[in-house]
Amino acid sequence: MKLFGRVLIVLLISLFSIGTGPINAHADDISEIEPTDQNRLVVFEAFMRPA
Amino acid sequence: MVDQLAQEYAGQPVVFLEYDVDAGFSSRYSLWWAAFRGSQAILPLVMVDSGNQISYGHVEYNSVYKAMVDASLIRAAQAEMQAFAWREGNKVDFYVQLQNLTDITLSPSNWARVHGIIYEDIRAGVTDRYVRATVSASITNLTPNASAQFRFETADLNGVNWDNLHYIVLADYKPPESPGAFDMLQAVRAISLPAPFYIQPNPHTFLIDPAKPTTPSAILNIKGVNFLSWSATENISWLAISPTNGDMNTKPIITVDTAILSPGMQQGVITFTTTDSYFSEEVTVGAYYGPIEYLYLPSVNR
Repeated sequence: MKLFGRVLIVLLISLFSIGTGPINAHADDISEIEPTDQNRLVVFEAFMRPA
Repeated sequence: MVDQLAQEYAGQPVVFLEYDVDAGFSSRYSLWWAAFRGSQAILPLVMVDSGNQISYGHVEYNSVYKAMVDASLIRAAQAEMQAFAWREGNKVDFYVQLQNLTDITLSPSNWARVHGIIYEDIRAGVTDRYVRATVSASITNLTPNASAQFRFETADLNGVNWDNLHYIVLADYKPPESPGAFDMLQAVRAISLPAPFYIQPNPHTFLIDPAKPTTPSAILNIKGVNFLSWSATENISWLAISPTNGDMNTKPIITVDTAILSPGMQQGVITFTTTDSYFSEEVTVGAYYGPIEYLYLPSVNR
């Protein structure tokens, strides 16, 4: 029973933990995205009135 | 016509925006009139580069509008800009870094401003690209080659589909030689973020078995507005972080000193604060110190 309880605690902790190993950057790591569009973005603005 | 042009220029650095002329987007609308310098005009009113080129009324839309866009496409940027946007309740916040590449100082005396424009992919008016909100901030005393950062927030956006919103940021001013027309320095699509500053993974838990001596460590990823810097402090002696400050590409390592851990579960907090003091984030670190039973499950490979 004591062993079961200890294993259960470890399993529960594991469910909510990432582990102790190094964590690689994710593919969507926004901090690594450098804005590349330093070409001029043309902004075409039209003021209209719906018919 | 505007939608057709948007299709023709798909893949090129051009954005087409429709404003309801009656909706009161005065920060942009007034620039068209500043360039026109008259008192009456027939719709639609069209401008490129904040009024550097304008058109109004019935024209040969395809050729006139394309000529305006093509003339703008070959112009050089006069500012370097990085822009980020995120949702804050029903508002949108912008954070912009702007470098002045002109040879004049940008300031209120030449009406220099940074604008945020939010448009939605929806046919609410005439086209499929309908402006929902604009917001702007004045540029104060930005000398040539100098950089400055700007934060601004919209009013509440109601009745929008947040998944279909896009964020444009542009900077413009009135050139000294211009009798009325403003000119755009640069524009970018703002990068949409879930939050301006956040850390992953959070929370983080270490499982440490005294029978297996190691120095538990993990790498944290700092995410958000990428021109920010940060510093970090921990609130408990068994927890350490290195380095304690950096930029958004720095990946700090947290380590646990097992020599001073107590048996069982314990928790510490690392507080990250951006150097502009606007944002902070707490990372909760747990450490379980005690015997760990390993359960090996059978697996079948084919």
